[in-house]
Amino acid sequence: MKQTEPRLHTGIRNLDKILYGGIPNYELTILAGQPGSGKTTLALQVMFKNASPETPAIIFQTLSEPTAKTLRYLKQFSFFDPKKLEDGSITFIDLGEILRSKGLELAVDLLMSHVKKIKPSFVVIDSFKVFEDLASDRENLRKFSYEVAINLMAWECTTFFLGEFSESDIQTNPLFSIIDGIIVLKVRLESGEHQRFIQVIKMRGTDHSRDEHSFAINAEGVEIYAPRVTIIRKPGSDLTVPGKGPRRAQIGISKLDDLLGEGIPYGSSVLVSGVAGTGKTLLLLEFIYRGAKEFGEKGVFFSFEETKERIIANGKGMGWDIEGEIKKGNIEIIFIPQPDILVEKHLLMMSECISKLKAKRIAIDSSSVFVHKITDPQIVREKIFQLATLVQMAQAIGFFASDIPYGSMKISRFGVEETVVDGIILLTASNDEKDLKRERFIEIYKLRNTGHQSGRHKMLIGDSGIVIQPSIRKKAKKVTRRKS
Amino acid sequence: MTVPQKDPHLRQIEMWERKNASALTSKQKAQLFAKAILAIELRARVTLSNVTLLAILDRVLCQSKEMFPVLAEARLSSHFISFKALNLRDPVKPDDLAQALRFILLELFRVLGRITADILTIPLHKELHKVSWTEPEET
Repeated sequence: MKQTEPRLHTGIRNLDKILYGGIPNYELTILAGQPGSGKTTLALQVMFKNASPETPAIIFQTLSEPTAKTLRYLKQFSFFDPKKLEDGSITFIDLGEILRSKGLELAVDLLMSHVKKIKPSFVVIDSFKVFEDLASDRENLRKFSYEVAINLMAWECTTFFLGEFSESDIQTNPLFSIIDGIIVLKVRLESGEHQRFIQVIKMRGTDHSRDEHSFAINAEGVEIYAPRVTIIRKPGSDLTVPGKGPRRAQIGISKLDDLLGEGIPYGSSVLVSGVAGTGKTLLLLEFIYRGAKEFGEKGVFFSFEETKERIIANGKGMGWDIEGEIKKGNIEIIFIPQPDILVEKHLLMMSECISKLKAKRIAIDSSSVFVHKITDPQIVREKIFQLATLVQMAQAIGFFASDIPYGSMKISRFGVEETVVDGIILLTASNDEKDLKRERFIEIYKLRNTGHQSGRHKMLIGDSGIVIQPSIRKKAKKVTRRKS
Repeated sequence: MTVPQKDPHLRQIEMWERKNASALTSKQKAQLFAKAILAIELRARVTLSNVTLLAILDRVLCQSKEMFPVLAEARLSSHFISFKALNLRDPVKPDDLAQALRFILLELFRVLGRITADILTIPLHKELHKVSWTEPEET
């Protein structure tokens, strides 16, 4: 659909992306949702972003919430600007009492008298549902809704009707046949938590995402996490050397590069799978540390299990000055406690962190913990794909730890991750019967577009990091890494 | 440096005025503008329906009255903007009235243009060019 008409940029993070550019001007949109779903906050945030003395907004409050309460509640948000109330950018009008006494008959004239006086560019009616109660029948409601809609359109107002409308209202309420857009806000229990979702059901004059997207209300207001529209693979963006194919990275871990042959192409994500105690976290940490220390590549380590302090201490035990690299701005460690994980929110946070640091190495410890609240394997697959897309977008190398249950024949926690990633490094352990020692092994199980060594190789955790003892006779073909 | 584009509606009105109104008195001009407004209302109604058109006319009239007190007695009838009370045959301030009615015509074009994403603009401009001055009939 070609975008010809000017749009209202909502100022709400990612909402314009869901709407493929914003709400077309002069449209009448219903914000539907149960009480507490965030309708008022969303509408007011849009108003505070867009209203000015030249393009004023009227917020009509009907019987749902007294204006004094709304104003008090608004003060907690950073978007609230009291100057906009003083300079006439935003006018709150409480119609509650008048509507109670005069009913629906005079409501159009009442609304329009304010519109004629203020000449707003934006109008919010919170809530429109009250007019249903005041209407004597459906025809009466249809006529009223139509008149309001037509009059506001004639004044070129971009309008929001808020209301506790349900799914069945969309099918049966006459109001829904005359409006231009429907945005539904929902709250429901998902993955053991109450989560908020937003969905654009209809928006005339623009194509839009039809998916549900999770969102949160925080001090900034409404913040939408929409990885399906924000984390997108760009075809043809892979780094390549003319005539030589993709640019590749050396990892810098002793002998691991010998196993990896030409090196891992930038933009690749690699699953580091193994049961507990096989050395996944250490491998990920050394991957980040060596990148910074030996190749000047910035790296970010996302941890869901160990705190930043413990990770630094683990590194110190190996003689790695992780703290020094953090101070130089080469490494960032971000700890997100397991119970706090909100997958879509943290995908967005990771994306911003990676691009802010310009990270070329990304470690996720672990991807299985990151998605552990999700029960649907298809969604797990989608989220791992989005993680891999973050790596591809940054043209970095991503190492994602995956915890395999003991005794399992799987190569990943959920059995779907391996289809999404570009490579798999399998870490295993077995007990040496002779001296009752536990032995660790590493295997390059898969690495797309790369000639690599196969088979298991001994892996030790030495005094200064991982030591691999390749059981190889001939080195895999390797290209010398160009200093970038 | 770009030269600012002149309002296309204003350009059309000026072209039409040069052809049809240059030799007219202010009183005649006022009558011509009222005739043009009616022609635009009739053409717009075909596409927009009476309810929508009335809402737009209400808005245009409301804004015009604020700028031109001479329009104070103009009313919105059930179909049109009625200038009956302005006594177009013998207005008190013909210059002001002609200017006010010209403003209504221009504002009507602008609002209709914006609201319909300029889909109606060309048909309405064509409609304007069909309007010419004739002596008002005796009633």
